[in-house]
Amino acid sequence: MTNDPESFLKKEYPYGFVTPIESDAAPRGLNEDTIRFISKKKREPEFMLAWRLAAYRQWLKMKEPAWSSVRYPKIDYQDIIYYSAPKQKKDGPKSLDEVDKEILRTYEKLGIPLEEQKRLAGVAVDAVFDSVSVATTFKEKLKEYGIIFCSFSEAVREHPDLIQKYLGSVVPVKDNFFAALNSAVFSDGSFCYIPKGVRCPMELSTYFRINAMDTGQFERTLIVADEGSSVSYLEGCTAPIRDKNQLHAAVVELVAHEKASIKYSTVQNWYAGDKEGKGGIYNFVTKRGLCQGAHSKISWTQVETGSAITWKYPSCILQGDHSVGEFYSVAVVNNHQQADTGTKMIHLGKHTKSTIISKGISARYGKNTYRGLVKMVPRAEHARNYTQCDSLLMGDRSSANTFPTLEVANRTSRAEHEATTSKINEDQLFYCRQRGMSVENAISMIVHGFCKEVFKNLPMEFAVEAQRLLGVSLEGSVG
Amino acid sequence: MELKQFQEAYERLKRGRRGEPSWLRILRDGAKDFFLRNGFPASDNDAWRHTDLSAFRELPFTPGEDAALISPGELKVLQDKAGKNFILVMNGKLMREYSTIEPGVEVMGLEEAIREKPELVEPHLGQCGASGAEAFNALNTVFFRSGLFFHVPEDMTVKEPLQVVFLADPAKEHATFFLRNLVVIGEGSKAALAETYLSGNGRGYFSSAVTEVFLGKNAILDHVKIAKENAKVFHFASTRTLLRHASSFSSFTLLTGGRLARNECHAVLDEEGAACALNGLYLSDGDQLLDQQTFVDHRKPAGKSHQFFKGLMAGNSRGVFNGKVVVRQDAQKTDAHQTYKGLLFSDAAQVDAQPQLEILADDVQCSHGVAIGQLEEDAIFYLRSRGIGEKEAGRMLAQGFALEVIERSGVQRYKDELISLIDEKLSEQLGNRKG
Repeated sequence: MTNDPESFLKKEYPYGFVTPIESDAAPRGLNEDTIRFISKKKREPEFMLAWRLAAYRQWLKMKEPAWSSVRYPKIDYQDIIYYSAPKQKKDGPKSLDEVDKEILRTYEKLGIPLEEQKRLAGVAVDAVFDSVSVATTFKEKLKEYGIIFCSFSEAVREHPDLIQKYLGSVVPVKDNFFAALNSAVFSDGSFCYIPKGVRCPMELSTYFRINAMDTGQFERTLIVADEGSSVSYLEGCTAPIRDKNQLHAAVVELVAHEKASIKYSTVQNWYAGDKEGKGGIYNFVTKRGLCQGAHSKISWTQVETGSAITWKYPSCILQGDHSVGEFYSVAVVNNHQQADTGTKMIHLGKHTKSTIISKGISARYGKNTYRGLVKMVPRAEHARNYTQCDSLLMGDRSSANTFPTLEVANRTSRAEHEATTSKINEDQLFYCRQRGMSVENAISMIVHGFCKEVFKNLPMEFAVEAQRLLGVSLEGSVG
Repeated sequence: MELKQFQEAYERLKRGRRGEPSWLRILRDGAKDFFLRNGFPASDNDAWRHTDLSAFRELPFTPGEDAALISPGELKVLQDKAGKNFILVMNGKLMREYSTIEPGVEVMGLEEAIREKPELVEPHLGQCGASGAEAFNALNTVFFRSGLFFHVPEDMTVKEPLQVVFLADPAKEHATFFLRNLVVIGEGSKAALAETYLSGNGRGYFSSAVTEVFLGKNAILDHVKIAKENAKVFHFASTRTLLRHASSFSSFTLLTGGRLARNECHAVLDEEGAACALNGLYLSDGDQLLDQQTFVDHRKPAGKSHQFFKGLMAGNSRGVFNGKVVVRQDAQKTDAHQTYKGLLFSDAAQVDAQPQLEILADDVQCSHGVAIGQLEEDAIFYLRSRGIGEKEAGRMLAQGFALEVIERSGVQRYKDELISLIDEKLSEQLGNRKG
């Protein structure tokens, strides 16, 4: 490809702006007082504070992991504001009218038609602005089905029994450094409980947005699907332009009981830093699902185009017999972005199945790593796994690593792994060009084809957005 | 083996090494410092996460001397079986009286070569550090006393393969053998080398074998390695190859013996157009742990590498495969492929595979694939429906699975020998199989 790599699109991050609203922030730094401040601010019950403090003490004993292939300057954990909330007039808005107009305007700029949401059939939005939920729609409708879908803080107050039962049951506090940090200081997030036998009538979604200077965002999401229920959850994010890196260490826990199914989709487009690699979000996330009951299913789909550094491994613990885990991923890195992502499929139950499809695209100086584990323990008889990881390289400074691990410990299980790495096929490109397509259209088409297997697993609303995002992310890089 | 014992053994041996040239002393001291600093690899070391060294660490191995026990009559039998270009190394010592070597090829003990041919040894020995320093390599560098030096001059074709048998015959338990081989193949030359590691008796020992191979421009080497030591042996080996312009290295490794056998194949494609093919097969049963590691470093453009490995695990044994391919930024037009297939015969057997691709260049074709499974039920049913017993059906399928590696490896001249070795091991594996 002979085109000048700089030739098309030097588009700046279109969502980079800061909404000037007052924040009710915690003092900079982290100690037990910070945690007490957060807990008090959120009017949490005693057990929650005790849990946070225990997590903090655990975190102090842990070391920041260094085994991944991502590189970043050392994070000063005392130089982060761990809590910030938009100022509230009274106790909390009950309808959109009560929501700060500035915030609503922010959403409009982002293209989230919050005010239209009520009319838009099928999507309930629990929008998280910085750390506090400001509006929740469709709640009443969900209530009819007995579905609980609310902000995490609300769940802690309203449904402490469920929180106590499930919080930390999939990602224990001491699981890893960032999970422990999150457990200590998590600000807010979403909670969802689908009762027995209920199919959630709409796609649930949350938009995250990081705002206010130097605020770490520590989301906590917990989704529980009781016996025979099913739910599809969407998560999408954008963030304003910043020069200083922002840390984001979220934890997502999913629990699927017998015959339940959870589909968790993510489109992540946080600020990736500028062309020189300055700024951008550090996205260090722990996502894990537990297929607790027999015949349960958890499916992760992710499209990662943003963040300066993405470091996450959405995983499945296949505990119930005949449970199913899936992982579909597209990770795009451009400029100086780095991504170390993949999945773990831990087969514990008999006849458990897992599928992993991972597509990595590295452009310019982008570094993309797939790191995965498929483990089949001796009692996981007749377990089955299929893994495919493909990498596409665009530019001689980009890199792609593939580090899968397979551990099989019984003779009735099967695991297969395939991986390829190459650049865009010249013949395919030539064919498209010869049909009169421009280079960029041809490349765009080939890249879309490369990712199609993953995109087709996204819910409709996201599939369109994901394609558009992919185009924007790679613009200016092909050539 | 503890670090303290290591230090003591080092000091003890140092006195006897006064006559060694200074470059060798520097090499050994560097390796000693590395080992003292890092010790044995811990379980959080990615390359060792599936290979547990605790059984090895518990045993009191101490580097030292050992005497031979095997009678000359037995050695004669070995020699007669082997034919031309046969080289016998017993407890590290080259046994000239039992060896026959084609004229033109230089073969001598490494300690002799260090004295007689420093101009060939110094620039090569220890200079093949494909992936940097590593604990067992460092140990070998510190303690090696002997081994072989092969030199094939420029533009020579060695007609018959050089067949080396490394026989370990310790007088007491917990002996150690540190072997270091250096192979230098001159520009445009062609040779074949086969290394076989055997135990002379049933005693357990620690065998460390490092073979360094340097291939000149357009040189070709076919390499075969067979390790079938007894079930108490700890075998840690590595073959490190440096390939110059358009040279070619192909290797086949068969591991069947040892309590723990770890074999590393490292190849550095240091100049344009080099090619390597690494193939291997291991068969394990009982409490064995067989571990195959590969590392291919594409440093320059238009290199080719193909890897094909298989493992068959029975009993309580474990198979490990860890294969890494690195394509550096300069190595455009690289073609690198790797395949590993594991077959599990029993419920207690386990296999851990870690294929790794690290690609820093964009105009490349790279792939890896892993498949782990068991004998196909349908295929067994088919054979049984033809009147073949279940055990025999399993054996036939397993043999077919194993032979694929040999067929793809271009080691035709060893085919019969390899097949009989595989059959022998297979009957042990399947004999212990339940159901």
